[in-house]
Amino acid sequence: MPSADNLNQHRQKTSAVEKIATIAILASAATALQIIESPLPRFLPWLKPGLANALTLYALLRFSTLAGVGVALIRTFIAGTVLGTLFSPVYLISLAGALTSALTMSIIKKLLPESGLSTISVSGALASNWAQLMAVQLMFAGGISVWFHLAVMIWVGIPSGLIVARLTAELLRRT
Amino acid sequence: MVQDSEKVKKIFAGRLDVVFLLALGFISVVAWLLHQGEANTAPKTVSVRVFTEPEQFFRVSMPASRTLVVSGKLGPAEIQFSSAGEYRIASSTCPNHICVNYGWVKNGSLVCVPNGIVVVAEEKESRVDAVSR
Repeated sequence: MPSADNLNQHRQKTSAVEKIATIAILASAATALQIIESPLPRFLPWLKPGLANALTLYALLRFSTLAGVGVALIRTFIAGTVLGTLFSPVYLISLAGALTSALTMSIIKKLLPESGLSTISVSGALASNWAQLMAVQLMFAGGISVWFHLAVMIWVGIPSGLIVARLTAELLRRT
Repeated sequence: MVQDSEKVKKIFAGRLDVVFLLALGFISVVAWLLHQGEANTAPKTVSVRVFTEPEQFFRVSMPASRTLVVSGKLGPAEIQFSSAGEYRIASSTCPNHICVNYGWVKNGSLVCVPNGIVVVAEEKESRVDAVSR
């Protein structure tokens, strides 16, 4: 008969393996979403729906900040490899957006524990757009009208953030 | 291992979310108005680049009431500058005169592709009209 300690150790190991497997699945799904989204037409180069953020947000809420950042890092790396943009400016812009978004959502979740998914997700979408714009400014074009982009960023960030929030709510409800 | 995520399972959990979205909406409107104001600001200098061999480059301090005649790829073109800080391509030796029909602009670019002429607002007037120390 196994002892209670052994059973606890076994449960902890199983739980850790389950967590790693879930994060891997989330990263794969996020990668697929990013690849599917990449050829879609965009109003501005750094403005896109960012559906892959739903999986990052899910990992953040279900596990930890580290898990969310991990999903963001893995998906940008694999998507960059598959799309042939790895370490190119496009990849760096995408990485800046994904990382900033994951960290911002984590900070908002901790600072405003009473907030709903919409606030966390819209903040993430705005942070992602902002980081990508900053990356574009640094790499290509200075002198872009900040006010124009702030306005457009919010118009795009709110609906895309709400879509991501809806997706995440559905994922949380079903799992 | 799995954290309690009950509090954030709702898309809108309370008044905070609505206030946040309304604040963002307000910021976007203010940003758009600031952008509109910026777009109507007269430029300090306007540059004219003519892509001939060799390339020609002119810089005009604004506002200026004058006409600049340049020799483009196809022939001469007239660029007019007004005392109101506006500028236009008044005439050009190009087939469709799209650049001429574009008319006066205060803060944009004018391009005549066939004649190889690009007119760009370079530096805007400072929005600060006083410095306090």
